[in-house]
Amino acid sequence: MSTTASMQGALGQKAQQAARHRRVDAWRVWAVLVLFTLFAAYNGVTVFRVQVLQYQDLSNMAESRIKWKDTLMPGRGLIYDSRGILLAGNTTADDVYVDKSRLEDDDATLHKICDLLAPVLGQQPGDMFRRLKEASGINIRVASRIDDDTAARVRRLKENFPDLLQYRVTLDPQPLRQYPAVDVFQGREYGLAAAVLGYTDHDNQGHYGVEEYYNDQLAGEAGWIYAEHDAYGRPLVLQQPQMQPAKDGADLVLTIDSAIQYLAEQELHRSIEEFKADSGYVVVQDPGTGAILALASWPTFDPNKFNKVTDYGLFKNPVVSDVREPGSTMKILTYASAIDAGVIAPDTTFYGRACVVKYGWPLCNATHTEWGWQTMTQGLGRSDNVAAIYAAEQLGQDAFYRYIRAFGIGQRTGIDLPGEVAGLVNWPGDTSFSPVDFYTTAFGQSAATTPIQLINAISAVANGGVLLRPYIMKEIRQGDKVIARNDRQEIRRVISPQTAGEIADMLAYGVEHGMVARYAYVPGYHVSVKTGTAQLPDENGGYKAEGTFASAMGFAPSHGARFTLYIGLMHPRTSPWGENTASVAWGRLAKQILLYMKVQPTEPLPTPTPTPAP
Amino acid sequence: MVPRAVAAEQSAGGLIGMVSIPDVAGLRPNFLRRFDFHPALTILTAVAIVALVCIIYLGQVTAVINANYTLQALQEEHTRLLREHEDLMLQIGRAQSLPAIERIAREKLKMQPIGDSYSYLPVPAGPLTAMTPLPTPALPGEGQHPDSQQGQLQSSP
Repeated sequence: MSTTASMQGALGQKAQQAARHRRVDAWRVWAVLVLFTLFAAYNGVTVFRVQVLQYQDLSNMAESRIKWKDTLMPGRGLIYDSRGILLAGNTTADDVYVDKSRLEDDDATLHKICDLLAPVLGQQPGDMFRRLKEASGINIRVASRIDDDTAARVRRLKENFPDLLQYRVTLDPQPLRQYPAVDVFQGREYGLAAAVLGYTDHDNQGHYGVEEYYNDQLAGEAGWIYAEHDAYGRPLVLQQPQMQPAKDGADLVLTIDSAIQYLAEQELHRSIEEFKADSGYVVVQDPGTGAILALASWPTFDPNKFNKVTDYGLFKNPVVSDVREPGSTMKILTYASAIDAGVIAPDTTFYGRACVVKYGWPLCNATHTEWGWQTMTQGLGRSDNVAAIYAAEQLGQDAFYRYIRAFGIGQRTGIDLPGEVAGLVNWPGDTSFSPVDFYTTAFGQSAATTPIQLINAISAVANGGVLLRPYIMKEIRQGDKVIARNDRQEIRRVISPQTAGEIADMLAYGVEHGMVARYAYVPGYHVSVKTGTAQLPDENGGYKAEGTFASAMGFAPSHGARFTLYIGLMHPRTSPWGENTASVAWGRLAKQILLYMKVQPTEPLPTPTPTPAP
Repeated sequence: MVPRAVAAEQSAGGLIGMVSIPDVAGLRPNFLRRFDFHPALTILTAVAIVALVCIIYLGQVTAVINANYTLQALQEEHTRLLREHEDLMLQIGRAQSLPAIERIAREKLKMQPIGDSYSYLPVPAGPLTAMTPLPTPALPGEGQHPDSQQGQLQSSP
């Protein structure tokens, strides 16, 4: 019994011990369980916070490191002349970048980089160092659109100093506009038809010329691609990419004929040198359509090196942006108006004095010559100011200004070039109008026109009396498809075909009878030309004592004109007169253009004298 | 715990006797008996299946990425060819530019401007329509030259 009791006691103790152990074990298990539960709860909360509450922010942060939008650059449209010769094309050139990350406090390394790189890029190491230090950001552009030779030298430099430059200097190919026709005059490079073309900057933006006017069509539309990128920054296409493809710009075909343009520029340069002029321009227009065949000016610029130009005035196209008193070339319009109104005829005679006095102002001939009795044809041929005043007086002030306005004087022509101005005409009723302006405007003073305005008005005489809108874009092409086209656009009929024919004959008479436009004579052809000599205005509203604007305006052949040609020379020093300068150039250039256009001569030609071989 | 074999037998006995829901439930062990893998093997098999799925997925992703790189390489080649085309267009433009042509004519070919040393061939009087057209050799694919019926320009010697 006792044994049994003792055994039972022992068993009870063991059971108690076991129960205590179980309690201890259970406590530990519970403790661990609680710890794990707390840990799991913490993790759960963290996961909830990260995956739910902060999901958007964190996912945006992650995406921004691997996923971004790349811009897809469009190809800029090309520009051709009317014969299909390329005037503006595209190529690529490198931009040079220096990565200055981890170099913020390492001036010595930055100095070494600048010492090596700057001479290759034609820069001063000190300047480059200063620009890099001052620039914000990491990847700093130190040179734009370097040429191929310089790019090769930079690459060699990187190979020779791989530790220093391999990952710090990068070349990034970028589109570059190029204008292939470049020539040299007076030691300066210039681009053919640079004033017409303008230029395109490194951001694919056109400035001046057709590059600016048709920038929207030429530039195209940039595209984009939004995708994940690999370590090298290349887009990874793991799913359908979000993208908008780039749309290339349209090609432009101009009315400019590069052969006529070249002839015009060569003649302009020759005249500037021969007559020692400061500057000048030449415009050639097709009077049948209004299309501009050539437009040259000097000085001008090389659009390939637009960023080297320091005189921004060179970018301006003087033919549309400069206003100038036309001088005697204006008389063509005065006579045309008076004859069309029926108040005078080519054979109307009047007594030509040296001067007449109007409102107290003496108005004289350029040479103060009293021509005596003469016809209107002779008056025009002699460029007689008094004769022009007579014609305008017969017409009357109101009718005169109505005709002048109808010819488009003092108004923009609407040519598709930027920067066109309207000119300055003192219209009756204006506060600036003086009664004597009527007489002076009749022979080309008191009114300032743009060259394009004047040639367009004379083209109306050349084509039989219809004023047309001048234009320089012939077609816009997207691939093989023509999406826009310019054609002959009539504005209004100004004079009758009969009047236009009479004016053509009057002008040709002057050329062929030894009058002021005699040097514009072209053997074998009837040409209708009028010269002009205008004084240069000074800052006080008067005229400068020295210097003139010499010009010659006309069309050829006289009947069925194929082109209207306007040449203006600023301050020629060999002679101040358009008669001895611009009209000489007119004759030479007209001869070449007639030859180029294969216009058959209508008059007997002198026997040529062969030029001996040198 | 009942061993699977016993459970299978019980289950089989149940099928012979009467059909009951527990007996039907017992079908599963019997079915699995055929695939009676070692537990470790089961785990390995599961891991292998998961790995296979992963490999297939990775293979697909890799294939897509490789295709992407191939596409990019082709695009780069396309871009390079376009640039080359543009450069060639510019070269043609430079070669066709009249300043360059005149330079070559003067400097390389030693040519001189014709000046006034040219003359026109005489054209018989009368209406042009009455004239017999001059035989002008036409280039392949070209019609007769329009100037063939009119006066011809000829440079003098």
